[in-house]
Amino acid sequence: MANDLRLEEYLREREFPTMWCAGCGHGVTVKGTIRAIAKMGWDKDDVLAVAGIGCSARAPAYCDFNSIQTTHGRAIAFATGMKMHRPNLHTVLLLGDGDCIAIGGNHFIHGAKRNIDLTVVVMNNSIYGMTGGQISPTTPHMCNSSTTPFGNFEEQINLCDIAIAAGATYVARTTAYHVNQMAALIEGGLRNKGFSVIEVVEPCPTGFGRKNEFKTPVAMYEWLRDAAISVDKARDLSPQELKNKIVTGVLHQSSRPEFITEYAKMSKKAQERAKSTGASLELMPEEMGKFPGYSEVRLSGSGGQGLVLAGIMLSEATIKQGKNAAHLQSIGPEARGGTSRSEVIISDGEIINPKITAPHVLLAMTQEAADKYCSGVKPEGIILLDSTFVKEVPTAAAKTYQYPVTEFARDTLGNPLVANVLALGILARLTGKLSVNALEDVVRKRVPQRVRELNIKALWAGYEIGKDLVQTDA
Amino acid sequence: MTEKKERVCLLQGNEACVEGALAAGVDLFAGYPITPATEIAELLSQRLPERGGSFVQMEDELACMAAITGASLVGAKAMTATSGPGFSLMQENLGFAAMVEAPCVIVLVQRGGPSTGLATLPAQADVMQARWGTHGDHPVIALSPASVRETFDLTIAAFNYAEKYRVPVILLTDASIAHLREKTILPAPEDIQIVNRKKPQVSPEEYQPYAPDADGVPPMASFSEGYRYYVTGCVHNEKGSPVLMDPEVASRLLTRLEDKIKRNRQDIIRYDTSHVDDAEILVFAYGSITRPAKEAVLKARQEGIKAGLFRPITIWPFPDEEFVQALGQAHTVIVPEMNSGQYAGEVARAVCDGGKQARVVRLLEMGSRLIHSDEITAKVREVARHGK
Repeated sequence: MANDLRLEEYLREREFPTMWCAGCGHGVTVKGTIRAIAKMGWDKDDVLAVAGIGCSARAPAYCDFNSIQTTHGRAIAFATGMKMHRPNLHTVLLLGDGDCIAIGGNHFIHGAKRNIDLTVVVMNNSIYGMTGGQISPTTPHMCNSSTTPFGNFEEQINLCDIAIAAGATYVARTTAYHVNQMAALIEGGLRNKGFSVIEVVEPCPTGFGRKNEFKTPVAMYEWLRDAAISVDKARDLSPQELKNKIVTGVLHQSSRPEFITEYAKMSKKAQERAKSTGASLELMPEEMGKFPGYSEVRLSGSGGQGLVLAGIMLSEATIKQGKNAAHLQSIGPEARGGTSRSEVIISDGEIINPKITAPHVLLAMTQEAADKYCSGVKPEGIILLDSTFVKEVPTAAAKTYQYPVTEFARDTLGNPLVANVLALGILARLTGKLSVNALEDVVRKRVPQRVRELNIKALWAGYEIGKDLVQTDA
Repeated sequence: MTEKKERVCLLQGNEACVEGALAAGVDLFAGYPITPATEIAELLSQRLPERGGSFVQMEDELACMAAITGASLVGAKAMTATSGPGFSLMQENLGFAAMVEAPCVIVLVQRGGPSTGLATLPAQADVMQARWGTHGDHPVIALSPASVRETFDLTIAAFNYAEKYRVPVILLTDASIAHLREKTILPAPEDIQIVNRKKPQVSPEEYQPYAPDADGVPPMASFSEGYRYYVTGCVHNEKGSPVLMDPEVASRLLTRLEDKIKRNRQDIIRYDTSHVDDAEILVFAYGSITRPAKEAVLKARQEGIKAGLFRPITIWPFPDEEFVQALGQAHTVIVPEMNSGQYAGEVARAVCDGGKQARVVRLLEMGSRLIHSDEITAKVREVARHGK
């Protein structure tokens, strides 16, 4: 097949000479990659070549594709964004060993986990070459490097095993000596619709060979030739016998849903189901004009009581009543429990500074909230305490009402989660300004269908309770 | 019903950001969960697939910034959103995006720091990280909204500037604006101005990916459109080839990157003033602190104190000329901010560079409490009492 290849058509010769040393394996792997791409018959405009940092990173510069050298270790993350937006781009990554599995290890794992359709060619020369030959994660045990003057006491990593474990669907290994096998294995990766890894074990005569008794580049290629053993033969050998061997061939192949394809399916479904979002909050003229110029409402309790949602619904109801509204929420880091504060400012005009100073209305649904906030309410204001939780009534100048809101929601309505809407119903009546019709409209929009009717029932039940509270008071 | 489809709604700051991004035409969002920015990712995880766009939750923030930069280079309008800790991780690839001139938008919802800090509380502690967070020199545009509606408008502006000038643009909000909900009237789509990156007018053979037009900005061919070229974070010439040992080429590139923002600053600088004409005391506030500052200035005026407000909407580049003009004869500038004085230092520099004598008084909050308007009013009174 190599005979038909017109290599120069794929090279960006204006970038020559390459920056690679004599005997370097990178050029060999670039040629193997080009052979595989040529075999696929792809248009160069449809090929994207992505690299990271290091000697390997210059590879895309020499190839006449859509070429990019990204940052160290991040090539797979860049390629993920590129492939998502342009799934038609055949995307090949040319990574170094440190680039791929040290600094880029997390992206490598997640690329494999997603099984995104990228072909990753790892140019593994067992060393950081560009910076002068420091150990990489793939440096063999007890080899020398410029940062292991006493020998590398760490074990090397097997990046193919990691790729398989993380979910890659095509994993192969070869060497820079086995050029025909290399082209064939890379082609296998290009054909696989999913995350493909082809590790090419390469010589680095300058950074690795000199320090590890390889006197010439040729000696390094001889090492690759002699250490390689096919995956079939390796199957019969013990781990001890495989020590210092390079197992070559297709190590793993499997079938699994591919990320881009699955995303497209999900997106298609989402598009079919998409509802028009965000209907405008229409005014309810018959409900307007009930509020005075400016009011502050504080709903307080703990996380999980639905106070944020209650504040949102209250705000929207007042907007439907023709008012300006702002809503502030203050929640602790806990997903449930902790303190929760949901505050609404209602105004005729611009709300210059959305901040609560002294609320006109307070709802307290825990003892802690009652203790903390009752005294701050305006003397002419209204306080509603959920006596399910507030057992001791703090002294306050404002008119204070008590009702077992949560208990009623739980025992009479059958669901404690509607306590927030029940409380809104009570407040609508106690304040006499908040339109229960506007609230019903908002509850219909905001609450999921399965609990919609229950919430509306709670709202009107609250309104009736409010009536009783006012009458009892009178 | 009005003829145009304006929309009245109660919107949260983060929701307004999403609406703005969608209105601007965002194609791809890459995110990672972080308080107080998470709502943006959650909403876009629904809205983007619904309109055929791309949403991906990446493995970390390094990857988010990489994914949006990559997507931008293949033609996407791309965005990410994060808070201080995540923004630190994005710096590496933010510098890359600036270097390769990839348009993109980073929403930075500030929270109390440093380190994990105060995850749910607001701060303005990343003003300098937004400007100088990466290694090396490069220009940046950062916008800081003071309301929910403005978050919508500035998200659109962020995309437009990114596309127009081929720069990463940072929308610098904070937890208090992000989680505030306000009655908001969103404009009809036909009333929103959208800018798209300019494309090459020459053939692929003639195209030089980093040869600028007269405005300093090179036309941008997306990968996959037949213009095959090489993109690198190395210093490069107009053809895009790495040139690593030529100070002339390096200087030409880096100067152009700065100049394309400098020479277009009139278009980029946005600011707002009130009561500055006869002001003796200028309150200089930005972002969420604008609101209490405005209230404080109004109160001071009621008390007969000649106070005014200058509010930069564009935080970076710093609005030197506009600020110095607003400063006029004012003898004191009060800078309330929720950090250790990051921006006040810049204000002092601008006073000095502008040949003014005004004193810069800092009113700082380090505990993530929103600065109260009463505190600002008190500071204004105190300064007024002591005069110059």
